[in-house]
Amino acid sequence: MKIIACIKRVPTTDLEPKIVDGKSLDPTGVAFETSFYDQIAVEAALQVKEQHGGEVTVLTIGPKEAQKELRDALAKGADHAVLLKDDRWMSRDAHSTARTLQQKIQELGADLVLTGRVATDRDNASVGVMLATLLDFACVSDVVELEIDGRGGKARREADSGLESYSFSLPAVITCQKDLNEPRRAGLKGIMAAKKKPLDESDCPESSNQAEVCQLDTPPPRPQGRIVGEGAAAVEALIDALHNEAKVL
Amino acid sequence: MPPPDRRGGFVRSLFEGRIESEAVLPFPLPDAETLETIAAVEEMVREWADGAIDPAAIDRDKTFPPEVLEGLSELGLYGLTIPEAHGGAGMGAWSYAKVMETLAHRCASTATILGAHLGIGLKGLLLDGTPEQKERWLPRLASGELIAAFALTEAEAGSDAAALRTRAEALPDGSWKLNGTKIWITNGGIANCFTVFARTPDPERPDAPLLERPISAFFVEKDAGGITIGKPEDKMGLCGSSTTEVAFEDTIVASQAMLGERGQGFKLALRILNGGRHGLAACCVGQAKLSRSGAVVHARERVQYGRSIGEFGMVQEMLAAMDADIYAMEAGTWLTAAMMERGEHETMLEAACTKMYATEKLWSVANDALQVTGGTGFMREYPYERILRDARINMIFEGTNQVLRMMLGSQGLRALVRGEARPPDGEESLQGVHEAFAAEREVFDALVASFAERCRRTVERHGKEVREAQFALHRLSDMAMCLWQIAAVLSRVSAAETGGQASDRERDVARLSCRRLEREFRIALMDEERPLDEWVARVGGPTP
Repeated sequence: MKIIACIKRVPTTDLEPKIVDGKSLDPTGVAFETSFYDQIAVEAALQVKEQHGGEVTVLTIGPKEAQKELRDALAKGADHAVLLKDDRWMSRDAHSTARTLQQKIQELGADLVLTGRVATDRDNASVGVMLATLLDFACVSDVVELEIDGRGGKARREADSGLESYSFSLPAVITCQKDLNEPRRAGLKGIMAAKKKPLDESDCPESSNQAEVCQLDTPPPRPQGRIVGEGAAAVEALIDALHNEAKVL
Repeated sequence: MPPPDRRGGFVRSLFEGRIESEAVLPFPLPDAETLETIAAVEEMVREWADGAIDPAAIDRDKTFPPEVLEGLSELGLYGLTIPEAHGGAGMGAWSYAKVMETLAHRCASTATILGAHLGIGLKGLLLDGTPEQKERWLPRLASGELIAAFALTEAEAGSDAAALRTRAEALPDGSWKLNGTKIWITNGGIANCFTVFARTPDPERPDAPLLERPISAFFVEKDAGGITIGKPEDKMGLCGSSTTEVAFEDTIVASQAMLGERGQGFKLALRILNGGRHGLAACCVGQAKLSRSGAVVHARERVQYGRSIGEFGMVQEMLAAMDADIYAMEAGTWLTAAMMERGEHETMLEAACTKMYATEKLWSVANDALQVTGGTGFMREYPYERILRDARINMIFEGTNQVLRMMLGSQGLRALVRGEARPPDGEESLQGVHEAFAAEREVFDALVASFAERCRRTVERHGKEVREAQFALHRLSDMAMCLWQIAAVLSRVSAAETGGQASDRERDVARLSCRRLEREFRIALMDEERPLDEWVARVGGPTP
C-alpha cells in the first residue's frame, strides 16, 4: 500500500507572535515543529504500514529547514520524504497548498493520504478536504478511529453532536483528529537510520493564491485580573463583580 | 582512543609561555550534518525527559522509577557512544556532552545514571576491549540489558586510587579469583556488570607485598557469583542515583574478562576518567541553565519596594554573573568535547580545567539562583535547594578539584622541571580571535606571559619538589584554568562573529565573561606575588 502523510512545519504553539508589515509573522527567533495533528497523521500512516505493509512517504511544502520535520518523520519510521521548497509557505492559501499537494501526490501515486485535521498555525482546516476533492478521492475528516482493510476502510469521525461511522473505499484522504492515536517518539536508532533514508527536494511549482491575507492582528491583551478580597467575606463582592461588571452571571 | 600522533596540548603549552592557537581556533565545530543529527537527538531527549521524568519525586522518594530506566533503553541512549557495529549509535564526545546537558537540565540523578554507564562504566571496553570482548558485551550494554558501573574506589583508596587493595589471584585454569570491597559505586544497585580494578601478582616478583603489585582491570558480570551489593547510601544529593558498596568474595572470572594488558589497569582507569570529565561538565551546564532560568523569571516577577527585584543592581550583579559564567562553562565544555571528537590534540588538562571550572561555577550559579529567589528558593517545593545538593558532589567525584589541581599543576610544569621546556621564540599571541575581541585577546596574551614567568620562577624555586608545593600548584592551576576558559570564550564568540550569529547581547556576555576570568586570574597572581603560604601553613597545619 502506498501511503502518503502530508505535514506542515508550523511555529511552536507557545509562540508569542510578532507581526511585521501588518500581515506577516516575524520569523526571527521563532521555533518550528510539525503541526500537532500532522504528527498524528504520520503515526496513523506508520500504523497502517505496520498492519498492511507498504511504504510511507512524508510530504511537505516548506523552506529548506523543513528537512528537520521530514527527518523527524523518517526517524519515526517513514520510508521516504519529499520536500517541495517554498520559502513563502506560510503565506500560501489552502487552495494553492492543496493544488500543489495534489499534483505531487498524483505523480507519486497513493492509496491512502493522511493529514492533520487542521494546521496549528492558520487554523483553516481546509487543505485535507480540498485535496480529496482535487484528487477525486474518498474523504473522511476529523477521524478518531481508523481501520484499513485491503480495499477500503472504516472510520469514525467526531461530529458536533456525536460520532459518525463511515466505511470508505480506497484511494482516500483521511484527516486526523487528536484522539486517533498517540504519536510515537523517534529513538536514537531511528534518528541515525533517518540520515540514510531518501529525502527528495525540488522547487515548488508556481501557484497563485486565491485568497490573500490583508492584515494580521494579535488578539487584544487580556485585562489584568483583580483580587476583590479574601476568604468568605469576599464572596459578596465577587458575585457583585461577576454580575454587574463582567456580566457573566 | 586518541590517535598516536597527537600534538601537545593547548593548556600544557601555556605553562611554557607558548600559545598553540590552532588547537582552539577556529572553534573546531563538528560538520553541519553531525550538528543537525545531534540537534534532533537533543530535541528527542528533551521532549522525553520533560514528560517522563519527575525530578522532585525522584529526589523526595530516593528511588529511581524503573519506567525511566526503560525509557532510556527505548530511546537507545544506553548505546549513545557505542559503535554502530556493536548495536549503538556510534556518537562522539560532542553528542555525549549534549545529551548529558539535556538530561541534567531535567534531572541530575538521571544524567548521573547514564554518565556512570557510558562515561566510565563501559568506557574501558571501548578503549581497550578486544574484538571478542566488544562483541560479547557491547550489544547488551547498548540495549540496556546490561547496565555498567565503574568500581575503583575503596575505603582506603579514594583520591589515592592507586592504594586499592582488591586482589585478583590467578587460578591454574587461567581464570581469576577476585576478593575485595569497593565503595561509593555509582549505579551499584542497578548495574549488572562492573569494570573492576584489582591487584594481580607481578610475574617477576611473585612475593611482592600487595600494595606493590600491579593493577589490572576486569569486566565482571554480576552473575559471576560472590558479588554482594550493599544497601543504598543515604546521600546529600543525587538521591535517585544508586550508590552502594560492591563486595567481591571469591568471585571467579574467566581470563577473557581482563581488560587491556595485565598490569596496565591503573593507566586505563586514568584514561577512562580523563575521557569522561567533559560529560560531567556538561551536566553542570544543564543544571546551571535550569537554576538561571528560574532565577531570571523570579527576578522579573517578584515585586518588592514597588519594583521587580530585577531592577536592583545587586540582583543584576548575580544574574549577569550567571550568564557570563554559564557562557564560559559552555565554551570550555564544547571546546573540550570538540577537540576530543577531532582527536588531534591532547585534552587531558583541558578536560581537567573544564571540570574544575564548570563544577565550581555551577555551585556559585546555583547558590546565586537561591539567593535571588530568596525565601522561595529555600523551600523544597522549588528546585533550587535540590540543585545545590545535587551540585555539591561534582567538586568531589571523578577526581576532587584539589586532586585535579595537583595533576594540572604538576603535569603542566613537568617539561620545565625536566628542562625540556620549549619557550616561545618571540611574543606569543592567540591567533584567529575575531577583531571585535582584539582587546580581550591582548589581555589574554599578556596574562599568558605573566603566567609563564610565574611558572618558571616556581620551578626555579622548588625544582623537582614542586609536586609537593601545593600552595603554588593551587595558584598556578587556577591561573591555567582561567586562561583556558578565556581562550574557550574567545574561540566561541569568534565563531559566532564569523558565522554572523553574534548578537550585541552575546558580545556583552562574552566580554563580561573574559573580565570575570581575568579578575580570578589576577587574584591568583596577586597571591603568587605576595604569598601568604607561611601563615597558611602555621594556621592550617596539623596542630601539635
